Amino acid sequence: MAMQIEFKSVSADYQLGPIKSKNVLKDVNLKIKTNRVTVIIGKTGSGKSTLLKLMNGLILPTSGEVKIDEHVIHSKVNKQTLKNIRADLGMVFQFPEAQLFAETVLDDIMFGPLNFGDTQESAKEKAKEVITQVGLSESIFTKSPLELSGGQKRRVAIAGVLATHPKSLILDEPGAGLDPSSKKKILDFLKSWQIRKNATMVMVTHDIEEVVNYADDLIVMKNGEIIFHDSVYSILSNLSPDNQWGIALPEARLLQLELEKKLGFKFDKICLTANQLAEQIERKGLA
Amino acid sequence: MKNLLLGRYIALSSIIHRLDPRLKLVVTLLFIASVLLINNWETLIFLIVITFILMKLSQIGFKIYLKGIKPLIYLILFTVVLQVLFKAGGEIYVEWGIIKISSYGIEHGIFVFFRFVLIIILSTILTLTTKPIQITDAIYFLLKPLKLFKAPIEDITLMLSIALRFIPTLLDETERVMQAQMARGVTFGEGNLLKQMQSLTPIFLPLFANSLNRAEEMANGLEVRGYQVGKKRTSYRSLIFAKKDGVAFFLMIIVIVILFFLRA
Repeated sequence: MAMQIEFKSVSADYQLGPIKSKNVLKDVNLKIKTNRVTVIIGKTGSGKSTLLKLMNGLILPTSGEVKIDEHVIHSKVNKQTLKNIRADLGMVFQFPEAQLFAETVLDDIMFGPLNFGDTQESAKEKAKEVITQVGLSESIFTKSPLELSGGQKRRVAIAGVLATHPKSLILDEPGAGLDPSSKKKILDFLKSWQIRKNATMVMVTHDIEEVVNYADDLIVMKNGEIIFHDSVYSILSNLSPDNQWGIALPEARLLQLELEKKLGFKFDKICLTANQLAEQIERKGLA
Repeated sequence: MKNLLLGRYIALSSIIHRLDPRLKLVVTLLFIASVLLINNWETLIFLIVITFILMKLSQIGFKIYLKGIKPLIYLILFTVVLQVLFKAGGEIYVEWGIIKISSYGIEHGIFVFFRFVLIIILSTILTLTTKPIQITDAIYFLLKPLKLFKAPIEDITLMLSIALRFIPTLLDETERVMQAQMARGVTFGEGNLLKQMQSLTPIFLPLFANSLNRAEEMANGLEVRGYQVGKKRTSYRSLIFAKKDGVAFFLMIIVIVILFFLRA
């Protein structure tokens, strides 16, 4: 079942210290499309992480409200509503391996389901189910999370969130700090999880290649405001490499522009990925 | 978490900020000692007034000092209640078994309350107006005599400055881990004491593991940059004891002398 995530004139502050707080989100209105992957990009401090944390009530809005299905998060929301939301909305933090604490991988994955009221047996069932989804085998269950490699830890941490059977998933840079192949594996299984569950997925990233390869919709943030929210293709295809918002274009698009300049012709279609570009080149009879 | 005042410094340029950190440290310690000298209303009011003046001079709002007291308020109230209930003397208002509420007990309760509050505020004035690195420099200076006994003062102060430097980092990290576990369905501050204690495991274990990792990285970082235990070190920050520091120290002595006169 798809989840509705909607922001109605939401403002939020970020606590910088005991005295200072900064207004990071200003009157944000937003409706995230269901059953799609929406990626949020923007410079550090533009409010991306705050936007994510607002979605499951880890930060409360100073004004306005966030609607998650029939639940409403506002400045004075009660704990039970938040627990209900969190049970439905899985959240994977930046460097989620920092949350691993149990003695064994199995215990750690079962931790979330047990908190949300599963029995031991059903929590274990869910752990078995997700461990293969993240590309690991049950043999890892008895190990301590601390003895795993970086990529494995990340996968176990994500498995711990998937095990709660969320209806939607929010991720803060799931690939950060990993080697390229581990990163690709993680994004691949997240994407396939999203397609299989027909879930809504919201993800923050800094990597435009991840955007074009995994996202359907794109949100661009700047200084606490949303400056673009549309499909990836319609936003990126209208941008020049030196656009005023400092949004990077994917390599394939840059190569396409370079080819057009060098060879003096126009492709029929704007390409954002290597696949699309290869197809266009073939069609032009250049290959 | 970020509301905690522990180890935070507020950059301003008040007269208190500009005093020599060594002086501030010594004066704070003396002040805290003199708070313990409170034994009648005159001494209490005198020290409250002095503390009030110091707070004003620091240019930091009173609200912020209140934030420093807030986390400890239950401890303070608990002690006050014990004083009121069990200290007998003077006129007795209520007597019930071993519990006696007396004029003497109430008076002592008030003294204990203000002793706590004053000690917290005075030490907060020091930490809010002095950079952690300056406090370390001051401690280094004051520990120097121990060098005669071959104590590793340099290493102690380095450890201290690293510890101080990591307080805000650790607080931020605690908040992050807490949020991550909350997203996995942990609710803090609910249920009985045992349940609340149990909900702390998912915070402290990752925190310890991460801190150990960080300590190792830090140690490697120090080593590759040529740090050697026990080597003599120099500092580019030199502390200067100026005229205003002398004046401040003189005032402190006067305060202590007056206190001794006011004491019962």
